[in-house]
Amino acid sequence: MNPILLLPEFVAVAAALGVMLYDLWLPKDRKAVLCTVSMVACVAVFAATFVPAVADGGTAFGGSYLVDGMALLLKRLFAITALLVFVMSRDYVEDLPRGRGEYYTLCLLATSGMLICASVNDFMSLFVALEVVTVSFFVLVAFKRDSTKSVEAGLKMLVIGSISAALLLYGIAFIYGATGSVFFADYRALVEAPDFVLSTELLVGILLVFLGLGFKTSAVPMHVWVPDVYEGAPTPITAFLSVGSKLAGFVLMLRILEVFGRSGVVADELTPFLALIAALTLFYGNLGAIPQTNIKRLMGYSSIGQCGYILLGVAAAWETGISATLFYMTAYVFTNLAVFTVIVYVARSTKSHEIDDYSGLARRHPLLGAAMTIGLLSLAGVPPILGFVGKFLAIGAAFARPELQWLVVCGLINVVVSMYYYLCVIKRMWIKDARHPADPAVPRRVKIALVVSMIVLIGGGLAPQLVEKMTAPAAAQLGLSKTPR
Amino acid sequence: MIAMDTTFLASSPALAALGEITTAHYVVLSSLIFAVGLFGVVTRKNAVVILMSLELMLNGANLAFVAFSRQHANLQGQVFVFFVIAVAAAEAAVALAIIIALNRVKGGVSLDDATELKG
Repeated sequence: MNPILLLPEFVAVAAALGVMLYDLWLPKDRKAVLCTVSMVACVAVFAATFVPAVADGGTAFGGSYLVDGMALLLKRLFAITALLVFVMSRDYVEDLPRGRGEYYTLCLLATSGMLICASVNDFMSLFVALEVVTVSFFVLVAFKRDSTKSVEAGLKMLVIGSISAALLLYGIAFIYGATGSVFFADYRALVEAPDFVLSTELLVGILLVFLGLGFKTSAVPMHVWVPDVYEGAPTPITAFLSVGSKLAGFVLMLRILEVFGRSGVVADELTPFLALIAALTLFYGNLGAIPQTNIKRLMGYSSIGQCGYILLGVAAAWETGISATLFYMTAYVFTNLAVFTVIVYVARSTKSHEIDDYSGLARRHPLLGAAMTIGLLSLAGVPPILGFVGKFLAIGAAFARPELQWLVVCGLINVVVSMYYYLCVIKRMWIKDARHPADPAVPRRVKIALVVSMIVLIGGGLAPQLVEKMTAPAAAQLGLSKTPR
Repeated sequence: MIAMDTTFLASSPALAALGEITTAHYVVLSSLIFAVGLFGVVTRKNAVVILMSLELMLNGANLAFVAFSRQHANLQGQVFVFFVIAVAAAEAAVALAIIIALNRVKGGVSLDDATELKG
């Protein structure tokens, strides 16, 4: 029993409750202070993961809470994600007619749920942590309650989200029925036992759990909400959804794979299923993005496509695959948040999310143009940017498995397809003439965030071993074999 | 598999004809409830009815948990159900708030009103 392990979560929850109370005392014109408090809280969460008692790892609450290298890495990514989301939220929230305090409170609560997701070690915490994230996002997506689009997006997310939560729950019920326990430690012992036999009950349970988690990661067939919700939600929340919520889903997938994948029998059954989902997700996302004219919808489809690449690494699992997945997720945080920061500030001046309104952006505002270009190139996987290394590692991990060669071909085809629609946006920004002469006003803290993201993306792309130094040990610590069996 | 207590069936010949009620019976019932809920979510247009169907899905899973809990003679499944009930309550509160917001902006709670986002 070692509750100090939960220090980052305590900080996040305390900040959420503190912001909610502080909001009551603040006059209406000074709500921006809450954003500063939230940003400080994210830095504190990040710092808390380096406190020796936390960074050494261990388990708490009777083994239902686990801190290891993967959990710590993800916690740091979640803290960075929340920080960058608050950076881009401040001006956006100032424009909202009401509910500024609640906005920051809910964002921090969602962050605390994600932090717990990184460390869950039993199905009860998994379900509750996941629902903390999902329910906070239901409210945040429908936050502009006078806007028909926002409310409609909230309703759509609510319906699909609840179906997937029920599927997940039913899957957990089957796993519990097959094993008589909800603790991951028991499963690890069970599947590693020499006399382990995979029952249909257990397999159906695991598949249903993956299906339920597919909602968070926007994997086919639980992807249908993504484009609509991304378009209708407030833009910073779209950014948060596309990074934080997705990574929370992936870390849970990796955790469950780490637990059950220890048995070669389960791994053999899961790999074709995950590979099929990865292939479908890749094609759906990348082909769906081509005809889009709205940048937020485009990013919605792009986010489905990116989920396909991460799933490629997940399907190839075991040490190399998990290491590649963690690398991809690190790259994805900085890439996607840089792109969404630009979207937020461009929309502030043009009041539109049409891709046509990005014409001439590079000349109108070189910093926004450069950040958008580097972000999109990173998503497309152009060397020497961080996103390229992530794709290279994920596809390489799949290539190492003879039965996944066809998936590698799918991945490569989709790299080419995705290049087309990302480059279309870049072409507009650099070659076409500006439609809107207005210069988007960008505050200093956003400029700093964009410059830092660009440095990480290019620096990490030129020296990927620096990023790998963080992700590879986290995967190695899981104690899995390099390849299955 | 631990059999359920079936002494009360003796009073009803019709039920007694079913034989012993095992965990499998409860799991089949739970899957039926789950399927009815899923069918409702997919086919209904009224947001409130969809919410009711979602609750049905969650309760189908709850029944499976309780049945398995009895079968394994440990309480983890029953404790899980308490968590699910709490989460479902939170979810229902948020869902009703969103439905009210939909009613305000659209003047109805039918999903046919929510067709602005597509493509």
